[in-house]
Amino acid sequence: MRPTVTEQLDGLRRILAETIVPEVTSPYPAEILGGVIGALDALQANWHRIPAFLRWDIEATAGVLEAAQPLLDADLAAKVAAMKADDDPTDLAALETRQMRMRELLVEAMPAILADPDETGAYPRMIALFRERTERFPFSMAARPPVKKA
Amino acid sequence: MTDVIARDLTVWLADELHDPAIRVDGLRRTSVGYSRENWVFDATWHDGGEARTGAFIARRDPVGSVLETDRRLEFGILDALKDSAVPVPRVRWLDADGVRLGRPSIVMDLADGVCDYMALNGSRPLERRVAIAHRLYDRLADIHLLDWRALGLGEILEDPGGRAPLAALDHWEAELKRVRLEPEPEMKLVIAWLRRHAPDSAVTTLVHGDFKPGNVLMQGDEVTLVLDWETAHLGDPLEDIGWVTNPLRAGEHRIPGAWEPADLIERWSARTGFTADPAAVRWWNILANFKQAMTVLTGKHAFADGRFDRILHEPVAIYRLFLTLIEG
Repeated sequence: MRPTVTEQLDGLRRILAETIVPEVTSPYPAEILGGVIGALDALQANWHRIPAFLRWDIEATAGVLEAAQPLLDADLAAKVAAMKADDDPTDLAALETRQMRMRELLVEAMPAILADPDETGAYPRMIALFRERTERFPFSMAARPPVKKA
Repeated sequence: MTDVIARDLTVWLADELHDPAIRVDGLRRTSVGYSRENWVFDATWHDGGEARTGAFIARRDPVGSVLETDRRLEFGILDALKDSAVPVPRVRWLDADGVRLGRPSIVMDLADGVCDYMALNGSRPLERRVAIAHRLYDRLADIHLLDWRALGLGEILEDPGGRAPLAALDHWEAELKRVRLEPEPEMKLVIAWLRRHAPDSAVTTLVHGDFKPGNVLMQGDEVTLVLDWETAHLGDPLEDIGWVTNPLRAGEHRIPGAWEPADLIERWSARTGFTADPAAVRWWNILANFKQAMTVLTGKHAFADGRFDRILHEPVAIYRLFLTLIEG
């Protein structure tokens, strides 16, 4: 399928950079436009990593919740168990929904995990998840305008 | 939009300065500042038959931002400080309800000077940068030395007393609930840690809330005005110390090997007479990062709502620092 998503994002970035930027002279719009171009750069470079990241995040969070099972009350344990059905790994919207639900369950489980940091291994697994997540997350906090080439 | 703001500013200032023929020229929105719209302009009017000119800055609430603050409080604080030992911009007029410019706004005199967020790590020789650091953080100490009761600040700001750390945490936890777009378990971990380790507060002072080289005006090497009081409040002065010694902002606040957090705290303690317990400073460092993360999450929420022009993602760099500070 051409232009591919990457090609489309690259083309949009190029149009903005080459056609629009030279015409924008006011400081605020110029700065915002630089940020938009930086965001398109980041999307072009990283959009293809999003499904793999979501799958990893879902599985790793499920691992923490599984380790925490003995600490959870019956209702929460049942909610965790109900999340075990597989989604279509190519359905991005389903992955996003499932990842958010898993993170919600982790938040619900955290009082129990924090109250019992050593017994089940759930606490160190959660900390390891948080650490690895910061490395795997596909985007940086804020898109930066591209550095002008000489 | 610029034409509408110019028209509305003209009407507003004509009322305030009692001159229907007032002129507003050169209005433009600056790119400085993520939280408020800053509009600079010149005005020309007549006062008792005498022609006058002035340069002003209007700070207007944006539709969306990284921070939700109250122009009424900002105006009240600046007005209270106008004759104090801490130099601040002169505030002129307040539109707390947004009837003038569509959204709450204040107008201040536009002062001369340079805003240089990398003043401590720019091209000046080392000894000049250290001297600037002394002047800069002496201003912070001067804020903490203000007699806030005598200035009337107790009438507009709440004194949290000895529970200032928990009051600050309560505030930011409520903000997280208000703005979060999705579950943030990392923030929940930090909240739990902060609740377990909250120190007591020994003294209540005025707290600037966002003190940094980029929030002062300089003329040459002199610090001439302290800006951006929108997050100022009463609390523990260690909140500001935790903010300026926050490892995340080291590039702005430290001069490696010459102006380290220990130097800053020693000088601040000598000037104020306050002590800085290292465990309490660490606690406030972590809260400082919580506040930083909150600005990102607030901006993320505003972007998703279509109210903010910058795209922000999860503050994973701050989460990484949290884990280092909390877990080692």
